[in-house]
Amino acid sequence: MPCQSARKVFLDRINRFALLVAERCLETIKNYDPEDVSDTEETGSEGDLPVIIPCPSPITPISPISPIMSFLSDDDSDSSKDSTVLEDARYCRLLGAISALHDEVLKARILQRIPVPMMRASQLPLLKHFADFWPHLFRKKLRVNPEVFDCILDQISGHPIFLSCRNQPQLPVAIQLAIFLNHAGHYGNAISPEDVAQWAGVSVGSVVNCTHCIMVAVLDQHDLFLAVPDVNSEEVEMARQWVEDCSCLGWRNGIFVADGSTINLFEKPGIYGETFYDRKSRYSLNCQVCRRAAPQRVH
Amino acid sequence: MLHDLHIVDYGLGHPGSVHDAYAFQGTRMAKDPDQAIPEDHWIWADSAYPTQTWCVVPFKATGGGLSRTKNLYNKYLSKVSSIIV
Repeated sequence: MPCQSARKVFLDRINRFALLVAERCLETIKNYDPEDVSDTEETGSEGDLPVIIPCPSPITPISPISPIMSFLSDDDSDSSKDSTVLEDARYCRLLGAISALHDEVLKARILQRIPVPMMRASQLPLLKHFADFWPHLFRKKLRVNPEVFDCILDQISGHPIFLSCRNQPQLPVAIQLAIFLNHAGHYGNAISPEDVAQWAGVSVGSVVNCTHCIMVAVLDQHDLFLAVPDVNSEEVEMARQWVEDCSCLGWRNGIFVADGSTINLFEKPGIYGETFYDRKSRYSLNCQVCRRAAPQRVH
Repeated sequence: MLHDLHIVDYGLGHPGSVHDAYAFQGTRMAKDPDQAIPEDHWIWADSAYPTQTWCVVPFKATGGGLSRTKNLYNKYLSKVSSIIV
C-alpha cells in the first residue's frame, strides 16, 4: 500500500528529527553543567534516547524537562541559567510540536490521485440482452433465472437502506443486486472484489457497499420466507398430496425433509484449519436444511 | 434456484468436520420439535440422522443385506426425501 509506506517514511523522518533535537538539548545541558559531564554522558548515550523520543504520547515533550530542571536548579550562574531556561523551553516547544506532527501524520488519511485514471467498461448492459435471448448466460453470471432476479428485486426495492441520506445518489437497486449475485454466486479467487469491480465498471468500494446493502435488505426478509408454514395452509396440503402421490396414504404427513450440505471454503482457514476438513476431503462449513417436501431439488 | 423453494429451518455455524447428526441438533426443529413441527407430522432424513417420533430414517444394512420389504421402504423413502444435491 503506497499510502502506508509514505506515512512510515514521514514518521521515520519525524522520529529522526526528534532524536536530533533531543541530542542537541542534552548537549546544551552538558555545556552548562561541566561537573556532571560523566552523568549526562551516560543518560545521553545512544541506548537510552530512542526509547524515550519516538514515543508519540504527550509525555515526550515533558519527559526531557524534569531532568533538565533538576540540573538547572543546582546551577549557580544566574545569567547562564536564564539563557539555558530559554533555550530549553525552546527545545521543549520544538519537541512538543514534533510530537503533535507525529500524531497528525498517524491520523492522516490521504487519497492519492492516480496518474492514469482507471478505464472502466461495464458488462452490465449485456445482462439485459442475456435475459431476453440467452437466459443460460444470465444464469451463469448471476446464478438465478431472470424471473427470480425480478422477484428478488421487487421484494427488496423498498428497503430503507437504499435511500441515500446524502446528495450523492446510490447505484440503482437492480445494479446493486446484480453485483451482489455475481459476487455471492461464485467461488474462489476468480471473484475477488477487484474482478467484480472490473466486470461491473464500478469501484472496489462500491462492490463492498453493494454487497453489504443487499445482504441487509435480504436478511430483513428472513422471517417472511423462513418459517414453518401453518398446518392448514394450502402449500402444506400440496406437500401432503405430493408425498402421498410418491408413496402411500399413511406417509402423507411426512412433509418435511432434512439433510446436510457443505459450503466449501476457498482455502484452509489459518486458525483451527483441520476442524474444517470434511469427509469429502474439502475444507467446508456444515449447513443443515429442513424443507417442505416438494418435487423440486435444491442445488 | 427455484422460485417456489421453501426452506423452513436451517442450522449453521458448524465446521465441515462435524457430523450431520450433531449439526442437526443445532436446528430449531431438532431443539424444540414439539413447537416447531406440527402435530402428527414428521421429517424424512437419511440414515445419518437419529430415529425419533418426529424424524424418520431409512433402515440400515448392518452385516447382512436388508429384507425385500425393508429395501422397498428405503426406496420409497429416498424417492420422497432425496432433494438436496
